[in-house]
Amino acid sequence: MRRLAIVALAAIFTVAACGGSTTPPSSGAPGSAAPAANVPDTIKLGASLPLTGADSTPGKFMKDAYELYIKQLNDAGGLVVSGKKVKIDLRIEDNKSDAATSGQLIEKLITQDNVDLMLGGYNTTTVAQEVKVVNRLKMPYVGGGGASSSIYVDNQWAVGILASIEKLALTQMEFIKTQQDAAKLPKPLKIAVAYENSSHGKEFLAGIKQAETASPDRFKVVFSETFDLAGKDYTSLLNKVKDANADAYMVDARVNDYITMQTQYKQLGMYHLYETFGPRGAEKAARDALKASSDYIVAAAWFDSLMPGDSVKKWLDTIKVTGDSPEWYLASGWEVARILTGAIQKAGGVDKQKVRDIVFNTTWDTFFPGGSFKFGKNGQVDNDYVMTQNTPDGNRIIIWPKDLATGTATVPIPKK
Amino acid sequence: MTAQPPRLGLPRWLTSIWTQAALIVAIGIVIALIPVVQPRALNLQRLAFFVLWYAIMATGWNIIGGYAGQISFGHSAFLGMGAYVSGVLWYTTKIDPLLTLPVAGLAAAAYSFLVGVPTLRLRGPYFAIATIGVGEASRLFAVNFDDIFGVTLTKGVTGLSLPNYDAETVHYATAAVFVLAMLTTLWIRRGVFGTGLFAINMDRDAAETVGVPTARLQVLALAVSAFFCAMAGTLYAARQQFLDPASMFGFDKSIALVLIPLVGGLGTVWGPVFGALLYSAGLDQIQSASRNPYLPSLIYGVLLVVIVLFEPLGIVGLLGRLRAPLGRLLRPSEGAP
Repeated sequence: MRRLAIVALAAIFTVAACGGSTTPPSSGAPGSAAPAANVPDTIKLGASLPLTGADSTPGKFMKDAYELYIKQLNDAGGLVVSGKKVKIDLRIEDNKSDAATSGQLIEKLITQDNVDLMLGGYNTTTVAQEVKVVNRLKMPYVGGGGASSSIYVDNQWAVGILASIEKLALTQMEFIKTQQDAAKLPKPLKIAVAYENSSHGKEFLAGIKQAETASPDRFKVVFSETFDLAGKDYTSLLNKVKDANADAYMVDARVNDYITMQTQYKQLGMYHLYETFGPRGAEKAARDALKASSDYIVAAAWFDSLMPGDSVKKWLDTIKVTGDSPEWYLASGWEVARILTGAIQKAGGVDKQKVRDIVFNTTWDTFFPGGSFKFGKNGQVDNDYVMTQNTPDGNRIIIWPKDLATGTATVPIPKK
Repeated sequence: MTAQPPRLGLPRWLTSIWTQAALIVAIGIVIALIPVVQPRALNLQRLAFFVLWYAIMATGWNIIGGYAGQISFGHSAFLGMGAYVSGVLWYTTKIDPLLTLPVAGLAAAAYSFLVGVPTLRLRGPYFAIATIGVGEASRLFAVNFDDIFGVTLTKGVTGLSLPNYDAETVHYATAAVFVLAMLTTLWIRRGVFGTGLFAINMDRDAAETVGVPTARLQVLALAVSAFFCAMAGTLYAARQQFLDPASMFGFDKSIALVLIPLVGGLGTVWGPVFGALLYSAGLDQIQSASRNPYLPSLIYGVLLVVIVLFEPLGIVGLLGRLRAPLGRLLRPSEGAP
């Protein structure tokens, strides 16, 4: 028995070596159309998602989106590639919300499970690690869960459908300008900024500072301070914000931190004419937790299900079966799967270089703001944001851009 | 803490330090040749890297934890320090990360001196608890480093994205560092230094009574231990090209470095290697086969309990019990002075 155990242990290495890939990712010449005869019967797509741990909620949204999209394709007989119907085999691994684990899982998916192409993960730090791995292994990667521009430095093989955080901040500042021009907010607007201790947060601050530099008559940052993720007590920070006597309170935070901070903000009896938590605010989980404490909070996100248009309505009808609230994570996962499978069709197969070139060089239709995705040289899009404001009835309205607005913003926030 | 098994009557040449050293070098060469012989076996290269990576760190940990019996739950501090020292030097000065291997090792050794002098006065669980604090404090320091000093070096929780680097070169370097770590631990185990550490492990007061410089040996053992963990950090930085404090300084890494030698064979030369093989490649393949992310942890937990209960010398002990030539060769006390 013991001999058997030892032999088994030694065999692990051997089996792993034999079972894994002995072929590096191919890099066929761009433009060489793959004949139908070379199209595989099954195409393997891989993804590493945070199904447990701190980011499990958005991770589940993205998993549901990927699975539903691929299920629909397979139920219809498969993806049509060069006239042949090809089944999609989707392999999703749980990275436990850990960046290093995710990097190792992605490498394993590529080298051992021989996935043909990669769907993206979630969280700036994790996606940054994933992007390094896919660049090393020259694997096309379409992501929808990381927005910081720092992810895409020296990147050749990954694309992301989320516009930068700096742009998020600048979008909010543009909106604020319209409110100043309507005499709803003062000039200059004294702003207190609190941002999470990450590049996400720092880019948010950078966007606000950029607007301040460009329009010193309109904006004045009177306070800015960072805070650690997953904090339990923000009262010290909030008291400093209180002392700053700002008109607006602008925060960049993740959902859980937003819930904690806003709860304590209300407990301290704080008030500002304008309040935002960056991309957070409209999430169902947060609204359920905060209830009236989240009324009038403004958010800028990459997508909102209230956006008008047939494509949005059609998508909403489709994803109902997941039972998920139709938040941007779900929409992002859906669009990521759609772009990658679309690139396979255009490439006529899974040639890595060809798929990569098509992803980068194609303008993709989307139901996200702007109506299309065009990836920049670094792999990131520059789409517009859509801004929402929570309403006291537990709902929200779109307030920006003007052509998508479903209501008029309540600015300044009513003082209760 | 570590039992001394009986001699098994092997020829002296087979258990000599030179035979063992030759075996270590041979293993290192065979693994190093993987990219040459099988250039397309990327999966094998991946598995080999992570097995060696864990083996280097666990071998380092084993010097203080297994030989000297000071169980540290904070060794991720040295791993993270090595990774960040090399990563930041690479990122800022463009120096080849592998050239920074000794710098990272020495920086971590110096750091271990700072934390070791006060903490190694503590015994048993008190030392273990203190090291948890060291690991967590190091993580928080890395997270807030940029804000504290007003610089942009570690990039906080977001992580440090590093330039691209040839994975094959890292593979050769990893094999070389593995050989170095194994030869060092073998030399320590068979030398006066190791004897002193085992004396501390068995009874520190008695060791002091007979003139063993316990404080000095422990600090030195921790420094050597930190040196190898930091080198592993450098190798990781060069290969994965991305560092974040939660992953590098994470408590899970510290726990892994305790469990690997425990399962492989605490206080033995080869235990960390067997432990790393099981912890890295073994669990990796179990997860692949089962498609269940939790099964490997369950199996490892059960195995850990079984080993603690029935075979304190772990996998090496099991091999020794087989009384096969390989097992006898790997038995820790064989050939010991």
